Amino acid sequence: MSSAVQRLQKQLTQLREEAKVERIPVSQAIEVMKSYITEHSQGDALVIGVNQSDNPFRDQKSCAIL
Amino acid sequence: MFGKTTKMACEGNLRVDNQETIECLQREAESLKKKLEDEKAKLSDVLMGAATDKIPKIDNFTMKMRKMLKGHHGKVLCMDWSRDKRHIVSSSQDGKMLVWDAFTTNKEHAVTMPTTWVMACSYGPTGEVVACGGLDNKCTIYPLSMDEDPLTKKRAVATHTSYLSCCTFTSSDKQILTGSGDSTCALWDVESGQLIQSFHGHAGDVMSIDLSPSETGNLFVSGGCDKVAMVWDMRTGDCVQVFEGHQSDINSVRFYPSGDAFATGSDDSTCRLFDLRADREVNCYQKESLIFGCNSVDFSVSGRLLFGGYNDYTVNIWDVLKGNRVSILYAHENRVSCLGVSPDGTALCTGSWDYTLKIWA
Repeated sequence: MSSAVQRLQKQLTQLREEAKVERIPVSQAIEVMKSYITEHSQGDALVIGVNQSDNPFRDQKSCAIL
Repeated sequence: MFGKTTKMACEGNLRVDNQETIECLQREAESLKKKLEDEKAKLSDVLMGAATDKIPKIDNFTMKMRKMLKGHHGKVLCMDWSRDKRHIVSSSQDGKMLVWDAFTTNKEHAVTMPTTWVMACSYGPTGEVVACGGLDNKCTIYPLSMDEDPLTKKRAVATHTSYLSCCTFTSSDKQILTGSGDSTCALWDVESGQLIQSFHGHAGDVMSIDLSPSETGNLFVSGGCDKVAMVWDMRTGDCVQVFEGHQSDINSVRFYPSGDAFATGSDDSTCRLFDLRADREVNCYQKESLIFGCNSVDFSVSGRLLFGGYNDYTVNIWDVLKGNRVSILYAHENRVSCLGVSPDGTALCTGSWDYTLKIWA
């Protein structure tokens, strides 16, 4: 069998599998995403801002007298 | 129905005429493609921007550079956070792999690889090992210990027939997934170095991989120079979904925190969001003024923000839902090659061809 036929058959197997996939409407996918973000927004420091007093990456203020 | 009839007709023809077989198979492929396009079009009932227009915009977004990690003497190509939210591994074009304490900016380990362009590095989930590789076509594991030089205990685990572009440990230190310029991905047993599963399907170099965060998924996504992203079942080795849309190489793929979607960054200067269950692209993040390629993407922990590191030395921060750009970081003095949000979501690390890494919070 020629390689062209083999390649086509591989592509067909892939397409047949894809045809079987159950899909949801985009609107539903977006709703799921929106509720995930709402549920987790309070824990998202980069959105709500990092509390600077407990930010370990902040530069420690050195003692002025020392 | 048409598909099945055609399939039978094709099989009947197999021995008759090669040319006829090819035409027959092509016809079935075309009809399946058409059917898929129609179905996807039907389910594309709303645009993401319209579905999210009542959600308030993100105001007063601020992000400042907190730390600079200096020590590489070549372009930084890859970085990964440890799960302790404190340590970072990075690798560079001059063959160095460094392990940093990001709180203090101290270097805790330095390894010189027997190769240049160390394009991949990854921290093991326990924090006790790191893996890296590049133009040596290998993925090498280095156990980290304060008493010994990591070089004495190094072990080559994976071998590809072209460069190693990316690697990531699975849920334990025991298995590692690799992607390569040989257009395959592979899953390896770390202890024995044996190949567990290989993943064939990409028609170009694989540039990036990411594991699904959902516990039961056993899925990972890959993106490459064939402009497509593929979702794979790790147990069977099968490609379960293919996502098209990009007009140039995909340099980076990253799962959305829920595991329902993933983002891509591409040389076509766009980032895109693909939803697994809708089986299609649901948003595209771009601006006319943005003409440079995107090398690396990651989400904030809630999935609201998407960070992209670009060739024009900037990081663009996108609102995933609304699609607008929230902010831009003039982050580096050369290409931003890699970036990652810390595991607890409190900081962003960027790496650049300007030899430095920076921590933003």
